[in-house]
Order: sequence, then C-alpha cells, then structure tokens
Amino acid sequence: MLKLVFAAALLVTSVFPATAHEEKSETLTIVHPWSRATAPSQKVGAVFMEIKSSTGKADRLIGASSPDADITELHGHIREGDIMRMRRVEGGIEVPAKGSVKLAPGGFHVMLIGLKAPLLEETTIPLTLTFEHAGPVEIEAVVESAGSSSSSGAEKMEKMDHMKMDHKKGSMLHGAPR
Amino acid sequence: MNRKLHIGVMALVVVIFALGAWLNLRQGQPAESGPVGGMVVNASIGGPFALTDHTGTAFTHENLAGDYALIYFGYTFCPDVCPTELGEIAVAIDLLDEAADRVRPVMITIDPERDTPEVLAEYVPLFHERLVGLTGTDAEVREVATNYRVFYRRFEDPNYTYYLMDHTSFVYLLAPSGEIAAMFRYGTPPEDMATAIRQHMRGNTRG
Repeated sequence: MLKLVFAAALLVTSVFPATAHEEKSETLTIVHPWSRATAPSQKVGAVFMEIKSSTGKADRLIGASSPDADITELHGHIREGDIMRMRRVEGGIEVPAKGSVKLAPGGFHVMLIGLKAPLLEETTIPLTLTFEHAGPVEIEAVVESAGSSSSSGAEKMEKMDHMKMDHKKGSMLHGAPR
Repeated sequence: MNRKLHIGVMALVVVIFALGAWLNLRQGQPAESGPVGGMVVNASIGGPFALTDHTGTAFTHENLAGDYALIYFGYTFCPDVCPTELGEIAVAIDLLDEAADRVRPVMITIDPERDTPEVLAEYVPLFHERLVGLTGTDAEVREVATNYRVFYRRFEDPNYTYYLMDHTSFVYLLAPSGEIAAMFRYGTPPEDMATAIRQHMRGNTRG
C-alpha cells in the first residue's frame, strides 16, 4: 500500500535558515524536524523534532532511516546524577494518544551514524520515520548551526510572525510502500 | 589489577554523586550567596595540565593564565549533549559583549582515540571562532579529567559497531588566577553563565 503523506512544509529561504515547518501523515504531525551542522571529521549527527498525534490511539516511533547515513538509530539519554549516558532506545518512542512527544537536546533523538557527507547549515536531510501504526512517514530535517539549541517550532513560528516570508514552497512527499 | 581499577572507578562515581548532591544543595540557596547559575567551588578541583591543541601545538594551563576560560569536557562523536553545551558556551561568551574577549572557550576531549588535533581542527570552529580544542595521550587526558573530577568511560556493546562515551557534562569557569571560580551543570542557560562571569569580573563573589 502506497501511503501519501502531505507535507505542509513552509520552507522559507530567507536569511533565517532554520524555519519552523511541519510534515503530516493522516494521524501524526511532525513539527520542525531539525539537525545540526557537522564537521567533515564528525561522522554522527542527531535529528530532533516534536511528534503530535491527533488520534485516540497511541503510536510508537520504532525506527528511522536516511540515505545520508550508514546507520540510523533512535537514541536517548539516561542521566544518572550528572553523568550522561547516551543509549539506543529499545522498543521505540511512544507517541501518546491525542498528545505529543518531543525529541529534544538532552532527551531523545534520531542518531545518524556514518554520515556520508558533512551536514551543512541551511540544507535538509531526508528521513523516513517508521511508526508502529502510522507506518512510514517521510520528512526533511532542516540543518541549523552546529551549536543550535533550536527553540520549538511553535516558538519559531511566533518569532517569525513579524518577519517577511518572501519565498513559500509547498511540497508533496510520498511515503515508501509498506 | 582490573579489580583495583574497578574499585577506583566506583570510588570516583561515589565522589561524583556526592559532588552532585552537594551542588544540588548549593543551587537551592538564594542567589545572593553565590553567582547566579554557577556554583562556587572549593580549591581542590582543577590544576595544571599539559595537552595539545587543535593546531597540534603544546598547550598547558599556563596558556590560559590571565584570562577567564570556560572549559568543557566532551567528544566529537557526541551529536547531542556536547554540541548543546558548546553552543551554550558560545552564546554565553557573545552575551558578554565587550568583556567577551576576556573569556576563552576551551573543549577538552575525553575521547583522544577519535579526537586527534586534525579532527578537532575541523570541529571547533563550528561553535566559536576562538574555541580551543585540546587532546592528548590517554594518560594526559585521564590526568586532567581526574583533576577536574570528570567522570568518563567508554561504553561498548557487542551489537554496536561504534563506541560511545559516558561522561559528566559540566562547564567550568576558570579564573585568571587558574582557579576554578564556578561550575555550571548541563542545562544551565547561557544567560546565567554570562551573569555569573560578570559577577566574577566585578569581583563581588567569594572564590
């Protein structure tokens, strides 16, 4: 079954490279997927986002893949006192019914291992997220600066309200066959 | 030998947890008693070190004398916590405006196997034009980390094709005298770091 995923993405090519954008499936909205620029010698990257569910049934992010990396894994942090232990998340990340989960610095992220090329600011990374129920959802994560702690998509939207959006682009993305 | 090492690591963990608990207590105190967002630290942390910078040049504690420094221990194969902290350090320094030049950002790797000077040279400019990346031999890195009470350990899993580093994630404010003036734990807003640094520069804090 080929699933059509409509992306309500506003890709604004202005002086602000990291703009808020959303990508939607029938039941899930992926809010502002973003990553950070990397050095050529740095073979890993992390992708952050917020996943919102509009249905009454909980879902689960169980995997991810990207043509830009050899391995794509779901990672989280275990914080014991002041020791940070980054670990692969087994069993996926739950998206609560009619709720949302944030993949944010210090918490969960999609880890890209074995980057085929450095992540450059203002470019995008294609990713396929796989959900237990919603199936595959294709997204494009925006690459921000290396030290970015990107505020949430909503906050960015507010900040941008008074800014001129000089270039809007809508796109239709197709999910991979299940 | 292995058992001794194990006991040593466990002892270090206990010390770090005790330190964490102590810092928690300190943080609960009103701002008047110490720098905002920073914790006054006793003198037994820090000290001399001899490392190599990202240009391949020898770099010791003496290179930092006379300046403030914000020191972070991390590694480049760390896509989340380390870039976050380095980003916050860069923001904190930029918030100091005309005083920014008096503070040097420094990252000391706890993963010298991956983080050669060449690797660091590509990495550090992404965060701040003046960020100094430091590496060394295993022994040199172990020594400076021990002196700064930094816990780090390599984590390997047979299912992984790579290794990760578990580590404490503090930012240390080094005073021009070479003493540690404050420590900031992970998640301290850059505004709080900048405020604490300004307070130290005005000399109106203990330590």
